[in-house]
Amino acid sequence: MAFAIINGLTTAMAVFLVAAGLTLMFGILRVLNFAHGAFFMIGAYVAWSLLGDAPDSLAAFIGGALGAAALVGALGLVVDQLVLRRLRHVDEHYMLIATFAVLLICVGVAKMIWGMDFHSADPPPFLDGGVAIAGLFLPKFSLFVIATGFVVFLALEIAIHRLWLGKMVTALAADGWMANLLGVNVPLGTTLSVVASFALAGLAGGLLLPNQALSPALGDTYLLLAFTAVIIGGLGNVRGAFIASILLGMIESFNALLLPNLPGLAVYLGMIAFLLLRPNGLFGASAS
Amino acid sequence: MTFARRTILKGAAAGLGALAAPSILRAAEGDTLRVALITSLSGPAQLYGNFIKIGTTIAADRINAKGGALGKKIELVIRDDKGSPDGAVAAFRELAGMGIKLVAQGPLTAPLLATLPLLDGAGASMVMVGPSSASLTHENFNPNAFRLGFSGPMAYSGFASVMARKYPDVTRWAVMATETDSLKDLARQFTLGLKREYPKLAGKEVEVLDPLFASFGAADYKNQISSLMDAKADGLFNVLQGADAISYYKQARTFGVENKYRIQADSGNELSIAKALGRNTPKEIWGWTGWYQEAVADNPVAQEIYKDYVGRTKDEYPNWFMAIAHDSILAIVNAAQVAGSTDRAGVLPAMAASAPLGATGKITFRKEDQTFVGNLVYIKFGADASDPKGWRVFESVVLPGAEFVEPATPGKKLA
Repeated sequence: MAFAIINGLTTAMAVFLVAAGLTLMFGILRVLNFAHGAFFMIGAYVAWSLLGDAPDSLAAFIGGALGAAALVGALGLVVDQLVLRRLRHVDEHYMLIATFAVLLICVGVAKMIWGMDFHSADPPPFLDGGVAIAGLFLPKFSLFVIATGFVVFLALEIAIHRLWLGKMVTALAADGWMANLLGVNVPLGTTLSVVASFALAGLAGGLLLPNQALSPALGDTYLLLAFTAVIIGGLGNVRGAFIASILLGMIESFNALLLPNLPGLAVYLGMIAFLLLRPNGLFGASAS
Repeated sequence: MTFARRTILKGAAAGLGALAAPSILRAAEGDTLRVALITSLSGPAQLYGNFIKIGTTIAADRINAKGGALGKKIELVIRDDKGSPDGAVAAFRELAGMGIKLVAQGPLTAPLLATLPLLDGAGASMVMVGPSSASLTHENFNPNAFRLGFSGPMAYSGFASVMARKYPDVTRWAVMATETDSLKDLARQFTLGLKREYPKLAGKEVEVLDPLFASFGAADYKNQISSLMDAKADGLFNVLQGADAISYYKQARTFGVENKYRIQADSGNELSIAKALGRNTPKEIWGWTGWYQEAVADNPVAQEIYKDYVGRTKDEYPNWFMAIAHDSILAIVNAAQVAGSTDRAGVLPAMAASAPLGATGKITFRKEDQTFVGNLVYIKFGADASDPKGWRVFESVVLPGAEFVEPATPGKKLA
């Protein structure tokens, strides 16, 4: 039971790391970015290319993840200039189709650059292995993922609710036209938000690299749960995505414990039940 | 007189069509012997499709180096099924329209089930490249197609036999599986095999615990691994495949699963595990594979093909689909050569009767249901700090497939 709780929290924070950028993007552009998982995958590949199979220190590992975030953020700038900006004023369905096309391109390019073979990277030595706490064996990397999820959440909370930049983004998400009238540089704010969203995807890819196999299909691994967290949390709400991720992580973990023959089922049942009870999600559809 | 742009475009299209038509007709009766390959060059099975493509290309090049067949050079016409039945049907119709009568297709079962009914109308013969589903030679048996692959019951009965021979004292087994029908069926076949082979070979009854399941494509297996660490078993059969398996082995290493279990048996990931995990590969894993070059060191064809593959790709560890794909083209072209034409009235009996030497050995099919009954190969590999790669293959076992193949019931479901 105790292990299931810790493992649920690990899953939750991994999902949140992916969902954070996704919900940020929706908050600003009102678009569910289908390509988000692909940029998560690219972030993992970039970190692997920078670090190799075995990062030699925690600092190098975090540096690799930040490098992945920077590069994927830069790719976000390119995608914004080439695709998102051009479709911002047309029907949102076009944007969905465009991000799906970006997803396909990203997967194809990843196959060309890194090939089809599976790869793997170790955690840095400091995070390798496990620790016994009260008779419970816990992988160190799981504890790191939990800590990282909380740090990223707190950083976003401070950035969105305490910093001037966050308040500007919140204002333009709420009413871009009015924000523009009041002197907010809307295009700049929007672009910065998109870049931040992509950078979060890259950061998640780099940080979660040692947890699973690296392949061009990696983007699918967390994406479904991340979409679910964003929907349950209330589209565009980082705080909601964080709480929803914890709920989903626990549901997923206890599903494995209590319904071992039906893995993954409880998440879908939970989402259906939740949407029936609170169709707008935990925190409504307000922007963060 | 005025010309509308649409009129000009229509005229140009008609002209190009008229020019193209004779070349299509020429293709059917041209200077080359066209052989079709339908495989997955995109979609979920792309990794295996790529191995199949290179295996068939090696086969065509080798046949051509020896003068071709029926007095012509072989020309492979390759199409992508995109991993879907619709993609396979579209590809097949196009190839049939080109007049191609010799078809190789695989490895996925669903696209094969979509194209098998089309063989009769197209007058084509097919070799199915590597599919494992028993249904293809049982309830969905098609007399125009031969399976050059290993049925699940055959491969996993043999696997259980290897375990009973090598580890007669390991009589309690745990199973970790993905919750999909096909992989659950592999777990069932292995379990049935254990229960049959242990009493026969080790004189002991075997207990198999209820499988632990994970979702397909899951990111986290730690809850299941925690249960595996508590399980009262000393053998572990893993039925996760692809990226799922790599993720699982990565996470299992942290918990020390390799130290708890005396032996881990892997359903079909073979050396992709070691290639991905390097020095973090578990200490010992037994794996089933359709082909391993060092297990057939006395087969000159296997060695030549292996060298050819390494020369082309610089990869020293090909997936077994490469060899099976080579043998598929060899078998069907050899049959046409023996029959003296691509007409299936001659090709199909020739396929059944002849046994050319391929990478897998003599390529032989059981007459009743046209399923491959070649050798089964199992390898033991694991971490080895003294090897620059961090891992190596320790040993291999070859078993005669004919001894483990399930009973033939063409047209009827296997009981």
